[in-house]
Amino acid sequence: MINAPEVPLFIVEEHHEAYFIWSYAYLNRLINPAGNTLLHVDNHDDMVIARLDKSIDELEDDLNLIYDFVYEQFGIASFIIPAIYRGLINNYTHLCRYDAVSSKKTNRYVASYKSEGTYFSIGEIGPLFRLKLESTDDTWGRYQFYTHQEIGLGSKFSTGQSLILDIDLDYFSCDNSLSSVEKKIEITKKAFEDFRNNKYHPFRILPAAGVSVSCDSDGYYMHYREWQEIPDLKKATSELIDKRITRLIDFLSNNNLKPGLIDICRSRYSGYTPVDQWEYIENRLLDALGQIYYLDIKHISEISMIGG
Amino acid sequence: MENSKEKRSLYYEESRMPDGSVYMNGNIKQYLDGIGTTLPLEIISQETRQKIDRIAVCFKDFAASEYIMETSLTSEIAQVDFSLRVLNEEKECLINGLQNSYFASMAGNGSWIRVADFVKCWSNDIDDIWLEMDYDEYDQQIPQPCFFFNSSQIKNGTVIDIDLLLAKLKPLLDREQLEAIGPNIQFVIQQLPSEVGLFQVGMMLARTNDQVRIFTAELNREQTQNYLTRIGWTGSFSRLNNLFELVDQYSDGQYILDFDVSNQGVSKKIGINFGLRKNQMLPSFLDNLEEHQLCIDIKKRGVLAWSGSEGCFLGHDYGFTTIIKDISHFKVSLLPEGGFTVKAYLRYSGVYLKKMFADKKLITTQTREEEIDMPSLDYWEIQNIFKEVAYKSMLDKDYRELCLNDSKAAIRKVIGNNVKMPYIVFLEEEPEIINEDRFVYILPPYLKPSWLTSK
Repeated sequence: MINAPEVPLFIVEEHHEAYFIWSYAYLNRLINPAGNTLLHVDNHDDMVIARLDKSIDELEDDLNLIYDFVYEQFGIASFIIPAIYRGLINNYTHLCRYDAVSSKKTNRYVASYKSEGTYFSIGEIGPLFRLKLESTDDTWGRYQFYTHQEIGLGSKFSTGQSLILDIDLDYFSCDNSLSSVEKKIEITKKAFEDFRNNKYHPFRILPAAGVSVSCDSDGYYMHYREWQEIPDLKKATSELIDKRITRLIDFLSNNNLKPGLIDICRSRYSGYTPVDQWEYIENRLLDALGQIYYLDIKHISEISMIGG
Repeated sequence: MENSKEKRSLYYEESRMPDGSVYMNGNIKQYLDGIGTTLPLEIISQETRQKIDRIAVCFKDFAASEYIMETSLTSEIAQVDFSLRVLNEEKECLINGLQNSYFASMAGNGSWIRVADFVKCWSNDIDDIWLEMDYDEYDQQIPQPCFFFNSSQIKNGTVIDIDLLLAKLKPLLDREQLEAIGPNIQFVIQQLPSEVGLFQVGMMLARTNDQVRIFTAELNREQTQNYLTRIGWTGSFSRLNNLFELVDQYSDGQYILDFDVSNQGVSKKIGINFGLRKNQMLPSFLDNLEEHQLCIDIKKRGVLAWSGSEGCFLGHDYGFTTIIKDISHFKVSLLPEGGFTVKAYLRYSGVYLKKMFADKKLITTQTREEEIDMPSLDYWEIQNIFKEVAYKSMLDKDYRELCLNDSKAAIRKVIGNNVKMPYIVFLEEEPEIINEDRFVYILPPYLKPSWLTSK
């Protein structure tokens, strides 16, 4: 009889929760505490740099604190840079394409402003980078280094490091218009009138005109619409979703990839995965992954009680 | 509390067929379906395939990962005998399979009762068994099997575990037969060179029930001839010499000898089983056989077309499987009247991707349990150490060399004292050969000093 060890697979709702899963994973010895390869299967690179209110350097091995930090400090696209900065990941490979084209693998750095661990800078390591590291005037510190590459389903990929397979369902079908999720909040009549009457209202003069207000018999509302794509531009048919899942499995099999950890992000609340498709994609994907790995599947809610 | 998933056996996973009946994942039918379109018609005609499909239904509850099609190279007819190998870890599945409705309907059939009795008391010292179905049995109402068991544990050097052998033969032979044949079997085993053991022992139950077939472990040519002399073989040594002349230039020089033992002694008919020295020799080997009228053209083409691999899906628990078709071995039989027959044993076996991944991960986990045991360091401290190591390795060539040559010393240099750390392999770049037993860390690039820098 074979008692096969299983690959832990965690389902998260939104992608910043992956940081908590990765922390949980190294604290439970599922992956290494440093020097992991992240295979990020996603329509978006999630490499947004966002300033943190608290230093990530102060996060130690307390999962409760990490849990709170994730929800308070990270956006759904700004969790990877901190993970690289901490050293958890030093190989970032973004599987974002559906063809066999791979970008050049580049060496990059992430550093924090005044070594404070709250605001980060990233860049490519060039010929004069040594000068920067040796400079006494550098306002950036606590450097961490990583490789960066974009690949496609037809690409060759291998890693000798511990591998995290990080999949966003929106890779298979995406709605960057976020049209399925209405983002509105009730406001006071005064706030409503302030916005309507002030053409330089702070919420009007954002980079993109994403905020508007409305009223009806029930009350006054502020609406937020991120500047995104037109609806359904990247939404895929079921047939195409199936094909992409099959090709991902072929990619994993052909490249002989054995992840120590898999996380799957639904992205249904944010709307990046079409609300009418996320469940279909998830079921198909889990079935397909189950054909090549023995999976131990858990939802983040099953472990997050430790975070309170 | 026991984890039910961990307790689950791969081989118990069942699926439902369209008609509602249940079959084991990974059974012979699924394997045949997996490679069906690539089976050479020179070896297996449509009619033979249909017959095998019919008989495979009887074995739908067995799970096996290795099968052999046996074809005579001198016969124009595309008929095969087929065999399946059941591993010790698959025996519970076999026990259940032998109790299904098909075998229940054969209650009282001597051959299958013998097999079932053997399987019931199949101990861990027998690694595997083979069941062989002759072509002539396919159309029988109750097809009779031939049965062989792994006998590598029976002889070790000069020590022969005759009790083990007799215990294993007991379910297969009547007591009187065993008493009559037992001494002869013991004799032929004792005559083996000390360094040569047994490969298999079995019975051709479909053909006879008073003979035991012995397969020696590998003998060289000289050992084979000497051994046959010692056991009193009455066949023609000159013809045996002709046989070796025919195959010796192509074979790997290792021969498994098979013969039958009865209460009369050793059979005149013997089989010489061997593999080729190199796969590339196959065409010339077959050409040579053809020149000696021991292989016809159509079979030559079929054998040459056999090898390859096919990917298929063998149910959820087995997952994606690569079915590899290769040639297990050839057998030249020396017949009592001095003639030769040649058979090819064409194998197909499954490599389960899931199991391969799982096995790898098991090793990794065990290694980590041993190595990542750092009571004195927290994980966030380890992350900081790696950050420091990476930084230093970019600027300091000597330190980088130390990382690559002695990771423990490199880490100790950063920490400043001795702490328990995992064994880490620092590498310049991704390795060509992946070894998951190791905690690999790829260093960032070394930055050469230039005239612009002060150092």
